[in-house]
Amino acid sequence: MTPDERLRRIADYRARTVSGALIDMVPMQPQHTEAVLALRNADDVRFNLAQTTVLTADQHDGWYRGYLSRNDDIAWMIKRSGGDIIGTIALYAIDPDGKTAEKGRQVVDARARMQGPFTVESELMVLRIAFEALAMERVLATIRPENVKVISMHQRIGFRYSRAIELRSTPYGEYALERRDFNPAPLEKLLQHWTDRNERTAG
Amino acid sequence: MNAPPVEQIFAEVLGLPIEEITDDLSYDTVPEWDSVSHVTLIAILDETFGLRIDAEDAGEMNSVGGTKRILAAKYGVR
Repeated sequence: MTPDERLRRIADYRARTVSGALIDMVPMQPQHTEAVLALRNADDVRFNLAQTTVLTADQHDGWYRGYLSRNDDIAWMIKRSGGDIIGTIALYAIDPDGKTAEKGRQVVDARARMQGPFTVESELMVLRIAFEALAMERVLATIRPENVKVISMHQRIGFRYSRAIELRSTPYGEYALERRDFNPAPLEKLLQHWTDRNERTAG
Repeated sequence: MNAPPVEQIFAEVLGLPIEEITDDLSYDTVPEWDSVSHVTLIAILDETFGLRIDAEDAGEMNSVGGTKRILAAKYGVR
């Protein structure tokens, strides 16, 4: 894939909703500010993102203006299919030459996390976009060592620890997933179970 | 065929010895109990006991003891 084609596809994803079995990933827009603040200012999220102060609307809006000026970043809101906003996720620092991209800014409401495989589905959808639609070679994730549950989930997907790094004066671990190691099949089987049970209930 | 006890399902999903599966064991205290293992757990409880655990109840099943209480009170699993 050429860099121009990759940039064209990134622009396309920044402008349209991507639907999965249980969630929709909606491009982040100004009207989502209130939802973003509610998610980002939860205590556990502030700790995991090393966010020392409460995020304000002005700060988020400033960040959003910067986001609009970039062409290597896709930020989504996670919505339950036909329902409420439950989180955020992003693919950013997308190398136009296809070497690496970073997955992050992932926040899923603590209660929703336990009510269905929304975190898993958003992970798999973003990784499919990275590896299949954008043909990236490697996806990176940076995770605080204390965030054992997120580390555990990434390892199940195939991420491997690569190195220690520091962000905002806080130690983090960098985890990497190579395209050849991406094996969504076991988790897709789990998603299928939840899709089937929801369809049975709806029927 | 008898269904396995709830503790055995927890042990298999979390990859822990059955001796460590006590009522006090909770989502907050066990690294292995992450969001993937939680939804796996709900799926296996569904299949094992022929249930369709409600999403609200799934959200409340954050300890072994709490899970057993909800299964007994709302789904008749003992």
